[in-house]
Amino acid sequence: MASVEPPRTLMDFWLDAQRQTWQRLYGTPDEQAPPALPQMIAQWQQATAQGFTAWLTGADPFAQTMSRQLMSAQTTMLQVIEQLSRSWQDLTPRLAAGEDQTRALREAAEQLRHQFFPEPATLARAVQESGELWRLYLEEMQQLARPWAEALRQAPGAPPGGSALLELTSLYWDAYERSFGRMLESPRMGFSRELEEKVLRGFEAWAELRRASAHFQLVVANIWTDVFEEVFRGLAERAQADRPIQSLHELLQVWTSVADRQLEAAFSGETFLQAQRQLFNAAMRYRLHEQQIVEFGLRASYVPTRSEIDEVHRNLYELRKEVRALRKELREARETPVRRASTRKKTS
Amino acid sequence: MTRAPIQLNPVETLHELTEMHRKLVEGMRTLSRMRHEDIQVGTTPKEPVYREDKLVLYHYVPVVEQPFPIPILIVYALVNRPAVADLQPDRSLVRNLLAQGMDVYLIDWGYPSRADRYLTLEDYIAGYLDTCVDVVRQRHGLEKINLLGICQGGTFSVCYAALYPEKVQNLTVMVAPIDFHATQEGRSGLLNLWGLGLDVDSLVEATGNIPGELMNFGFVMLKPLQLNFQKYLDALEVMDDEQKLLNFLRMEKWIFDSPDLAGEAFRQFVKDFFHENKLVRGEAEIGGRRIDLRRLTMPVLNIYAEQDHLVPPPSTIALGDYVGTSDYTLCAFPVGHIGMYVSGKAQRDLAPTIANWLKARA
Repeated sequence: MASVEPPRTLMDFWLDAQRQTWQRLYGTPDEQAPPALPQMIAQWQQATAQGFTAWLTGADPFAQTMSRQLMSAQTTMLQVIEQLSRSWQDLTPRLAAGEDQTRALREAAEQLRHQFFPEPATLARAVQESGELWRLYLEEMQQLARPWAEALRQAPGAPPGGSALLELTSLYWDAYERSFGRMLESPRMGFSRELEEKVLRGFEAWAELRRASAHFQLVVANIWTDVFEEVFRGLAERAQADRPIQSLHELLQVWTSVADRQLEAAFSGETFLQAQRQLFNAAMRYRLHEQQIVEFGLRASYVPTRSEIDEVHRNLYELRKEVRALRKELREARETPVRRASTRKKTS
Repeated sequence: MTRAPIQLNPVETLHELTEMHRKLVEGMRTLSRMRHEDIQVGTTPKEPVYREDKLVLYHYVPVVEQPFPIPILIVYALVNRPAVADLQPDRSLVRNLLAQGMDVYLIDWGYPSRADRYLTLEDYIAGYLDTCVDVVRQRHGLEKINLLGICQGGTFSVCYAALYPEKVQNLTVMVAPIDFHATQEGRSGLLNLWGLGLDVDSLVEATGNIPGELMNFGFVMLKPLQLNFQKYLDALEVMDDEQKLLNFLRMEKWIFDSPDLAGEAFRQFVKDFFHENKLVRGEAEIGGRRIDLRRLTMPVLNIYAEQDHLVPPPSTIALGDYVGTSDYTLCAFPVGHIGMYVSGKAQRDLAPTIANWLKARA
């Protein structure tokens, strides 16, 4: 039951961070301090993580996970409070000046969404550029191949120079570097044709996954705009009804209940369902292509593949099922004469 | 003039934050002292009476001298672990049933590995479940026993009872999905909607077994803020109370203890039940035998949670439209899906409801 006390300064640091947060948000004494809240939260998070890691060393891993979860919830809470409060501070003068409420709320919601969920524009642009995509894809394939390729290279009796897959992906990599992807237009031939085909199909699946991912992020980001707008609308209604929020607890309750309601409705909508479907199915298709490429390398290196092991499992499964059925038949066959005999006995 | 909707008093808010952090620090202190054995679930005394592959059939030690003569076999879902029926001594459906004089068995399906990828619904329902029923029947010298199917285990129990009505005395199902296309207020349940778009063949081919984490991710995304964020902030309220913190941790442990799902069984369940709703259309088949719900001629008790966000009530309630028995009882509890196991109301009333219903049909 030995526990390590957290550093004394941790609690002080934490409370001080909270105090400063509050002062910056609501203009109490430290009004002139630079608005460095995000950095401050990050520093606070880092310090607390280090402190608690030391503190929880030796505790049950589950307890450690839970601690991290609690701290993460705390951080999110701070960020949400900060952003909501800031947004409302910006909104107040606009509404007071008689600006159209719907428009003002929508704009504030969009601004807030951009802070939490930046537009995946960079990603979307990257999706358009096939050269850049090829570079990223091959980089990923090399990373995928490296761990087992390294292991194979170090294995006793392994051929020098590593696996065929690593060499072939390196070949692609070098070729790409030299020709900026033009090699893809050249005819496929020779010993690498099969792998080339698999890599090409893999690339298509990967590019599709990137597109689906960018689209999904965009859809989710738009949903969050609606969520923030609804939260602001709820807050505006409370203001008009003279029912202001007076505690953090209340603010968070409003935030989570309104947001979850909106999210649930959006998650049932066709736009989200379609984006989710595309992303999920694209991810699975890519994974299958990825497996094919990896298996090519494994076979070249005389390592059993996932498909081969699955085949073994399938055979075992079917054999065991057959054995069970035969045992059952045997048991029933053995029991039948006994039953018949006992029936005859009862009858006579 | 628009008033500010957020009017937090700095002094009071600082106090609120300080108090919250004090509790968090106190909770961390408690967490740092915790060991694995402090966060145990499923502790009601039991003994394994049958094992097959990864499955274990448990018999709980009765707490009365003369238990009710027809035992209950609890059939839980493949998703998550059956420990939720015995989370802790004061939150335990199993313990409450034992206290009502019931003789209780439970199937633990275990944790399927990749070698179990090819297990089908037939293996689970006409194989494992049937064998367990036979083991219990033989141990008690009975032709028929009582079945209590929970969640997906309820769907399995319905299928089983329709295939083997001669072995089931009474059938109780709890928060069990039956009509997978049922709607509530014009909307399908989110899980059903998400399941509909799933290319289950690609999923199974790509992953073999379905990772438990993937299933869990889906469940928490049904209420993302509440289940990923608010829940942990609420937990701060009990951080300085070791017992309440332990309760919270046991539930967390159960929620994230998610076995992978055997790929083939999952494929069949999603296709036949989620996508094509074959159970209520009378087209579902297990091992080539059609499941005809009219063969449910034994008494049926159907229990559902009014605020169930995982299995919408209409999906469960539908069972009444298809059963062949005239002795059908529908029973609602004003709780959510998980509340059926842990809420005060369920703790007090659920086991007596089941036990009294069974005793009246001995």
